[in-house]
Amino acid sequence: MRILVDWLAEFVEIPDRVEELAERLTDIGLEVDGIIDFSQTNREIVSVVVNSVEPHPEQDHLKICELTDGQREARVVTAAPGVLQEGKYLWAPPGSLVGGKQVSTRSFVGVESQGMLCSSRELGLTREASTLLSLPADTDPGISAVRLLELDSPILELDLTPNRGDCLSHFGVARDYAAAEKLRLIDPRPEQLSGSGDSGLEITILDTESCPAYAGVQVENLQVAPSPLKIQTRILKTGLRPLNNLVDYTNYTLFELGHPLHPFDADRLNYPIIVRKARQGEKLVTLDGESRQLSADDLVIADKSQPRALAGVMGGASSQVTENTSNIMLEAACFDPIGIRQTANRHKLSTDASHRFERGVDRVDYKRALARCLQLLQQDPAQDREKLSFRQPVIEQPGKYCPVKVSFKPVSFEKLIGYSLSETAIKERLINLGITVVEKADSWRLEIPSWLGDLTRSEDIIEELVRLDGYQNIPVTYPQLSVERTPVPDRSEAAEIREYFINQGFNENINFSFIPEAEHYFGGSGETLKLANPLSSSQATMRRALLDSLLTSFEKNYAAGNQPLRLFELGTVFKPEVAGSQFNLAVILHDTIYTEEWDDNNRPVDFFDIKGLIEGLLQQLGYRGYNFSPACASGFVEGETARLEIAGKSIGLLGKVEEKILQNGRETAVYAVELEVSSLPDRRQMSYQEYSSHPAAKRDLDLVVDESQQVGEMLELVRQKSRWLEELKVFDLYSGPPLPEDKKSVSFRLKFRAEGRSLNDVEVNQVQEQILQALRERFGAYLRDG
Amino acid sequence: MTSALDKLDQLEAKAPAKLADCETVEQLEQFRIEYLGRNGKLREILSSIGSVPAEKRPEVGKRANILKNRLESSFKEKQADVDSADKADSQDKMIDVTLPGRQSPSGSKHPINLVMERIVEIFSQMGFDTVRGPEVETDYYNFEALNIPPGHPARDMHDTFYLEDGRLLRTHTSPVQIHVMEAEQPPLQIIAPGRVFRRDADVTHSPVFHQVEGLWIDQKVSFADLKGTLELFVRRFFGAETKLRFRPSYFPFTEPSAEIDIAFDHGDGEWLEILGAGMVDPEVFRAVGYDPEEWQGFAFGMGVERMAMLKYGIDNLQLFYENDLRFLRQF
Repeated sequence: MRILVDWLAEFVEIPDRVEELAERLTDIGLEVDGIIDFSQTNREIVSVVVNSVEPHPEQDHLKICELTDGQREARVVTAAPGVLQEGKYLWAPPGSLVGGKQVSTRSFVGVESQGMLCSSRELGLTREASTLLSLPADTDPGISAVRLLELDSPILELDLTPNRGDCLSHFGVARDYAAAEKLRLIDPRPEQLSGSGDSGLEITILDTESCPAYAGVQVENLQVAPSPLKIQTRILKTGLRPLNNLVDYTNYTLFELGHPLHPFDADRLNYPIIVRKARQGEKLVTLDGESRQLSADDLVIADKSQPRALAGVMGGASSQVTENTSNIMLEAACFDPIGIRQTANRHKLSTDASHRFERGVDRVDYKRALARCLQLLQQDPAQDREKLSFRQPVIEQPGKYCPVKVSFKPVSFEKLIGYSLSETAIKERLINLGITVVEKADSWRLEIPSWLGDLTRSEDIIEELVRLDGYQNIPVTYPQLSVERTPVPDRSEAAEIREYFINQGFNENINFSFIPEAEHYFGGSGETLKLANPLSSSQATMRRALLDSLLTSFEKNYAAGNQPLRLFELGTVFKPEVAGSQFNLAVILHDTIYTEEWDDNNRPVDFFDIKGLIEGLLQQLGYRGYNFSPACASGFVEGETARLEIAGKSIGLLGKVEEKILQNGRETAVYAVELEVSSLPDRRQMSYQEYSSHPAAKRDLDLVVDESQQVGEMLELVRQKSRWLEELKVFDLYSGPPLPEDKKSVSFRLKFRAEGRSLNDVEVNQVQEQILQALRERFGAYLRDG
Repeated sequence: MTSALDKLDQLEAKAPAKLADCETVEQLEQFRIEYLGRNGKLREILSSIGSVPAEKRPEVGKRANILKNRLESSFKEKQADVDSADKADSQDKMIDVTLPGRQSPSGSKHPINLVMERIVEIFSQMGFDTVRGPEVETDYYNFEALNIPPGHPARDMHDTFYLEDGRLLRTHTSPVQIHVMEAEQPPLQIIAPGRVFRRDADVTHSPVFHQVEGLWIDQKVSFADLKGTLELFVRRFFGAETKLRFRPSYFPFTEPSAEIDIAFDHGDGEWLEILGAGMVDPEVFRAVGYDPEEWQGFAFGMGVERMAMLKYGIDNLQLFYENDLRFLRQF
């Protein structure tokens, strides 16, 4: 929200330096995001009078204007509609600055334009596209825009939190600033809303929950005209476009006092005014030209025949003020914040009015906002004072307003905040805020003013006190603990796994949790969690496997020429069939084992590299009883894929990635892993075991078996049958002559060691014999030499 | 038979020249055995000294010893010469130690995790337990229990992703507070790092980002203690010279609330917003069944990406999720 410093200064004394004001406002919780100075970005722009307007010979939508600023003459080409002969506009001569950009002499289809005529958007004042800034007819040419529009007064950009409905206006900001700085506040509002004669209107509130108060006044014999330049300028600087005096004065009141008002063309209304919920099927064309299907939850301002406005959000086109309007009904009302919010959301229509009603408006002084607007109308130079008449206002207040009362113990401030404020200081602060204080022994009774409606509890009062005293006054202390505590560290597997892969040369990735519906390759065929409101279809479902997004990182990096690629990610996956959340690890391994290519020993990675990596991880984590078995799974090549199981429980998959889902890197195989970290069983408690210093006995067994036998199963059997076994390795694998076809030789190296004594040959031989026998029986294995 | 004296004369004349002629390790070894060895010629003279007339024995002994010393020291010099010559000769057998070694590629931790772990570590040192919560939440935990009822304007600050089943992706790590308080009794001191989601994507917003939430509940934990705790954290994270500013703000689940800005000495003095915090609102205590008369405390939350951007001078939020190795390998 923009706050004009010169406007603010009408209500409270402000420091000379705008930076100081900005700092003080930020300190009391009204954060100033930026200070805008339009005078620096709009230099040398002057008022001009257009002497002639001719169409461009080649282009219909362009016009050629001859203009003068009283001293210079210029020819300007403009595309703006509605430029008039004798009209007064702002001209940016060649070389001047408009909205910070330098204007040059440009040619438009053969006609040279000396500078340009300016709109409010080009000056940087408003955001939306707008027509030329048209100056009042009595404006002299040659006056600088900085002077005409008072651009040298800075503007504050405020970023208010949603609890500060009371500060959504110049007067509101001034009121809070005055309370903090203990300054005198000048109130621009007339005390009373008055008028004369018969009211000429009738108001019926059918839904008093949604509309606790409604005031309307009929104003007659109005002249609709452009508002005075000062009013227009202020409207412009808040970021709105001036329209005509009636609309401008209601907007002016809105930005001055924070209360939205709405003018209806009274001659289009069919009294009584009825405040009610819309009926199913009713429609309303709002001021923005949209035809809106109303819901039975939308509050409308209707008359006898139809809805005339979407209450608190936007007026209707059928009763809008036009150039021909001469009688209006001016509304000031209070609406239920939640209802307004729902209607604004339902119609995707956030307006200056709805923004304020959602945050709560003043339940008592809304009538004074109406009075202020009438006062402005009365002072409007376009009005004929003799004819202009204000009828007796109608005020309906079916919702009773009771001031909020809070009981407050001054000592509670110190307990919550950690330093003490004297009772005198507390009382002074509260009174400055407009709070009525009734002192009792240890608990005070506070009556909260109508504009601070959200102060309902003792904590809210403490917040106001510490805010106004300044957070810089809070001391810096450290908590006193009621008990001694030992902190619980983070879930350790994730951190250990992360360290392991980084040490193995892997780069950690973090990907979004979303993937396109069609790209769940690794996630299996299960249901996906779908977003009801995704940002795009490529982010519509939640990933079931990390590999599906990690593979995208792989492809992007590959395409960028980043090699070799060793990637991993740790994160949550989303499976509707799994209760609770599942935390996974994904790994991608590609290219060669070393980075250097001069060495003949370097080679492409293969399945046993990725398997070794996972075995190394399991050992690092302290798991012993794990098992890899052939597996077939979506995304992986059958025959080069294994499932990891620990203690009989499936933990995940590893293997070669199917070529058909790869775009890049297919010339060397891509290997991948997806493990369910959160499914890992509990780990053994680490504990020291005494090691034997007696010598080990070694045996090498060169075995011949059928090609089809799985070495893993043979190893498992050897482990079962071997007493004193300390180490078991496969040290050779061979097939070919002189072995018979369909046979292979597998060589095991076994190391035996006993505790407390040396093993003798006889007993080791005995064990070896048992092993051989078992292998023979189960796998048909025999010794190669025997 | 030549006398020992004659032999000595011969040796003195020939041996130094012979040594000078040696050019290889083998020749030197030959020389050592012939002249200086256990059965070498010098030893032979000394052992046959008995055959020398008594009056000449001292002279022979002295000359023999001088010769021995001279030969030995020359031998050593010669040996060193031959060694280095030998090395130079065999250069074609040496490896080129300047070739690059066989390296595995170097790994790296994602900067978001680097920063998140550092944040958690600092709070852990202050005694905070690390906890985590679900990324899929219900409206109750994400909003209602945190004093953000339906229709509350504060919901505007959270653009929420909803799932088709009516649940939502958490918009902040604050629901972890509720889970922990429901499960445990005070006093509590927790830090909750994690991933959060907002339906907002532009240059300065990512639909997925990370937060760290903190909560400290005890009987006397005050706003001043919040200031102390966060000041300690910020100075450990960004450096002892970092300036802090606490200013009033608003969150429905804290009252009073604060936003914390920092400024670096070396920077342009600009205040940078990094943290939101405040005293836990009594409504939140009521939602979890704590007695607000007995317990009080503070909560805070910070965006990890923002902290990482400030710490490492990263100016583009998108870099974190592009996962380009040219970025990742810098950490």
